Amino acid sequence: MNSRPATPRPRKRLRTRLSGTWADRVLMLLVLSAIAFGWLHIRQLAGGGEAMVDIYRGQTLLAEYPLHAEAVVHFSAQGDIGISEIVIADGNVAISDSPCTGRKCILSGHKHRIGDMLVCLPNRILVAIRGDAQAFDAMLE
Amino acid sequence: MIFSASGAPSRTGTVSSRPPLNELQDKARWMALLMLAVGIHVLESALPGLGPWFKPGLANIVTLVALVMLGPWQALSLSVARVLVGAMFIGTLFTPTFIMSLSGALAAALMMLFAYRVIPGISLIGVSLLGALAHMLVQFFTVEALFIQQTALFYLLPPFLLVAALTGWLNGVAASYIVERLQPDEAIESGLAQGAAPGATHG
Repeated sequence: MNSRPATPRPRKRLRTRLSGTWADRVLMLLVLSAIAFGWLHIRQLAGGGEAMVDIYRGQTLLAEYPLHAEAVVHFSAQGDIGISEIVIADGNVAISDSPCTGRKCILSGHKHRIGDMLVCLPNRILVAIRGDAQAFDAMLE
Repeated sequence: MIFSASGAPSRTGTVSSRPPLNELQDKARWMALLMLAVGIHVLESALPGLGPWFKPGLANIVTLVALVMLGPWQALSLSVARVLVGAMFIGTLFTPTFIMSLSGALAAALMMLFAYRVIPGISLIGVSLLGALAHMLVQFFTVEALFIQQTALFYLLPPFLLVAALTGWLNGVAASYIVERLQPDEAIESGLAQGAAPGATHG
């Protein structure tokens, strides 16, 4: 297509390429500050107190356990396509088995922080760690 | 041009009922980009990546390239077709994964069309950034609406959005590099490739 001889294009430095235009940077700044603000807000809402593990199927709460319990908890959550096995031990919660194909919930590993969640989308199972402060409950309503 | 058909003969004496060469060329380009996008989409679904829920969104680079080279509607149809054809290859057609991909891809494409048209001074990097964020946000809303009706789900949003912002930016960098390389020289010289050369004016 190009009949004329190819003129060498001006080569740009990597930094120029990475930095974007002013509009891009302003956008990024806005986005980052919104994320930071949202994050802090959520940290506040999630609150402190004793860490509890909530297990949901869709909208219904199936079970509630303290995260730091003496005994190991094995819970079989009946979801849309089968049973997800949930294990709570040593202040950690994990999904050890699930009938889904993607296995993302199992690959998510162990969670222990307040606000962390394990999700099995095909089975519609949600495992959430929350503090037992009031604010979180109010958010859930 | 990379996508030009070799030895296209219909320069003179074309039958009038035949579609013009330009149109065919654009269709061929669209198809070529679709193949590329599907390939990346399938590859990406097999990547272990940053964690089970994160994907770098590389297939979106192709949507960005289509947006600049072919136009808004071609880019939109490309991203929808990519998800459809890709799902057939991965085997997730009409599963939750597919619904998530489709809603995300649609949202990203629409957002990117909007940003590319409306926001002044934006380059492909900003367009890609907004696309990635729209993708992530809409996926969360889809999950909340269809699968797990828990508002607490949105507590996960900030870290996910942070990763989306970073990958979106990097994809934009890649896309503007690719577009720059694919544009004919004249287009760059006459300033047609506005989005393609972000650093040129003030670098």
